[in-house]
Amino acid sequence: MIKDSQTYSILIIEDNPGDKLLVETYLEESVLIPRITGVGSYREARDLIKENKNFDIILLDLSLPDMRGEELINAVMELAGNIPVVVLTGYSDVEFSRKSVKLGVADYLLKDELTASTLYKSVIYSIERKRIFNELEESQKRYKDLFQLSPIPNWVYDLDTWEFLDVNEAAISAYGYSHNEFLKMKVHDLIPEEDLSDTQKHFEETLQNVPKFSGEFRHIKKNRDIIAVETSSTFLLYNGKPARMMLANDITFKKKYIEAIEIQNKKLKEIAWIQSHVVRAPLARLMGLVNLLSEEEIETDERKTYSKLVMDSATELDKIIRDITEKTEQININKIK
Amino acid sequence: MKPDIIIIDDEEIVLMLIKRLVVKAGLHNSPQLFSNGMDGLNYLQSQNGRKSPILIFLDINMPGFDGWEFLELLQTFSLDFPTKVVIITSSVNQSDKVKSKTYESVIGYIEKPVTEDMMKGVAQLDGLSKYFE
Repeated sequence: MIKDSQTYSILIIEDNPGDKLLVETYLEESVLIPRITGVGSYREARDLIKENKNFDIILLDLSLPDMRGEELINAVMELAGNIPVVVLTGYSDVEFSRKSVKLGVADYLLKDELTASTLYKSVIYSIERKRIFNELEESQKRYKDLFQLSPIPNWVYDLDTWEFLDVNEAAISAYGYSHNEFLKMKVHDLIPEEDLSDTQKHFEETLQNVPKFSGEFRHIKKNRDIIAVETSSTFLLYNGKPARMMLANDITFKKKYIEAIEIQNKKLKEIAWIQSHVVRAPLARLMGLVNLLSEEEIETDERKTYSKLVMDSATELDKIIRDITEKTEQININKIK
Repeated sequence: MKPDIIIIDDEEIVLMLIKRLVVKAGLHNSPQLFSNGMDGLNYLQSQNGRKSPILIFLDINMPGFDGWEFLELLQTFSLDFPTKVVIITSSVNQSDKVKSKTYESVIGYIEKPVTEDMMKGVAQLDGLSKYFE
């Protein structure tokens, strides 16, 4: 038999020295460098694993002096974390062995039927399977984190009942409902009553045949504040049920800002109109009066009257300019909350 | 035969200035002055029965009833005599000038301040010059 040249770190938890020797011998037959550590009780195993988690696999006998059976499996599984556990048992109790698999052990082997090759196969399979399982778990966690840690409120809702199936942290802090409150609500509960019929139509269009959908809506928070949101959603199967994942970006501030700019534009247009129609009137009058004053045949009395009119027009012009300045100062876009 | 002239402007000083220039330019010796468009329209209606034309110097920007409203109403009148309008405005907006051309009765557009030369030019305007020959 060609030996596996990879290094394996193996922990054997076995109180019977004969059984331990047998397992070691079998392992050395198939593996070139088995780094075997042996302990004879649960307590020893616990202390060792707490210190050092770098085992590739744990081989566990089910009857130790300080613990046995199902209780032992549960305790070791908890210690093992990501390390696969293979159970070695002396009983030919198939029922219990089956149960042990349900408890999460990677495999069970009956000592009476053990050979070098069945042990090797089980060790290799268990390590490999656990590695793939860990990777899958890791990637699921990564995707869950992407959803949970997204700074944009994000939720999944059931397409048949409109009930929330999951919400992320950002949604919880943006809307003020707890995770549990959300899960008792429907998407409709976020829509202000007066918008419901319109929004309903939009929602009916977003059935599963629409892969992507986005729109602008008003949402209502737990404290009854109304915010403007831009949502986009996409179809997915959530635990086998048709659902949509929806992102809701708060654009309340953006909208207020645009409104303020529109008001500002309106005021600027007003000012431009005033410049042409109101400012120009006394100015044109002034110019007319000055033309008149430059005529030679004007008498002194008349000249006095016109000079006064010139001053009146100048005063009027001054007042208009002050009014415009005041109007301009009212435009303050930084005041938006 | 020279047309009679009325001047409509909400500012008394402007009425005085324009009247002075009308006289000085030799267009008319005693034009009628109105400080709002309604009074002007009433006067025009009271003149029904005459045949000789009336020339109207019209301000646009007036409180209450402005020059545009005046022109709209004038269109609906059926007068026995011809009326011609020259707009005299302090506005320098091109849009006002363009808008004025949409009224058939408007034959001239003057931006304030009005000078004597401008006033003399009014007598040369198309549709008016024949009366001043």
